[in-house]
Amino acid sequence: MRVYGHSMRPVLEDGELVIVRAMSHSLALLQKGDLVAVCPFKMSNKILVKRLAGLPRDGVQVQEQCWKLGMDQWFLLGDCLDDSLDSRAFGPVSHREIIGRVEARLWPWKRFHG
Amino acid sequence: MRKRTIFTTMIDRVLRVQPLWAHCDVPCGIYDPHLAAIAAKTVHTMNKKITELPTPGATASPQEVLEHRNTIVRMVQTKETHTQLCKQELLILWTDYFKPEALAMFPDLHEVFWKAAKLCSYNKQHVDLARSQELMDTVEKINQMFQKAEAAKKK
Repeated sequence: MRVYGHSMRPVLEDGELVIVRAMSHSLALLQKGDLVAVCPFKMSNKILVKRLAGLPRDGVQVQEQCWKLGMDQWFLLGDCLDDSLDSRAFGPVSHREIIGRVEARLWPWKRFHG
Repeated sequence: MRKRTIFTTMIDRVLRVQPLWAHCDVPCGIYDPHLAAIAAKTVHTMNKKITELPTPGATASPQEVLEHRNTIVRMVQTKETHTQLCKQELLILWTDYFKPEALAMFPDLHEVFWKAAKLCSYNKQHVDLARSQELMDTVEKINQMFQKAEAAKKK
């Protein structure tokens, strides 16, 4: 998949190619801090890349706001908090909205990383 | 967002590389008319292909007729998808990128966008090469307005 935008800088730059491993049936393997591809229902089926900041039943505090996550709620944040549309705006996502984990950067070669 | 080259866009389409959005148009103010241009070109190309596709003759076998129908449906589906994409990208530019102040620079801004959106709808309903060419021309005009607005911002 090709990254569009800057909200995950410096880890992912605009235009880079990444490999996303589909994980809709193995979400238990996801850990806090993983980069995930998600398709939030509230975002018109756009596939977004964000960092997993909260797992189900976690409490998440960002700046001055707090969220208590439910049984099937996953909290996502962009790395550039000032330039990111994430769970602070569209709320936590459910397992049905998670597509998979970003496993590796494929392009450019000089930034290849698994 | 860095400007996508036609080469990169074509590579992505051939290899079916999906976009992975690390932003949204609203908070970060990233806009690009390139997607609308590619979508309009696709609509025009589909119209050409549909128009040029030979109709099976009276002696054609049922399988040939079926294949013909299948090809037509696939082309129409692609045209439908890209017309909608074109309209969506244009509406984002119209409603989010161009501010009321832009009317001073482009007094016909609303008319151009309104015409482009209507052309998208028309091209969904019809197979008309002249009107899909008109859609491409209108999107190009919008692209030029966008480039001028961007240049004015940098002054």
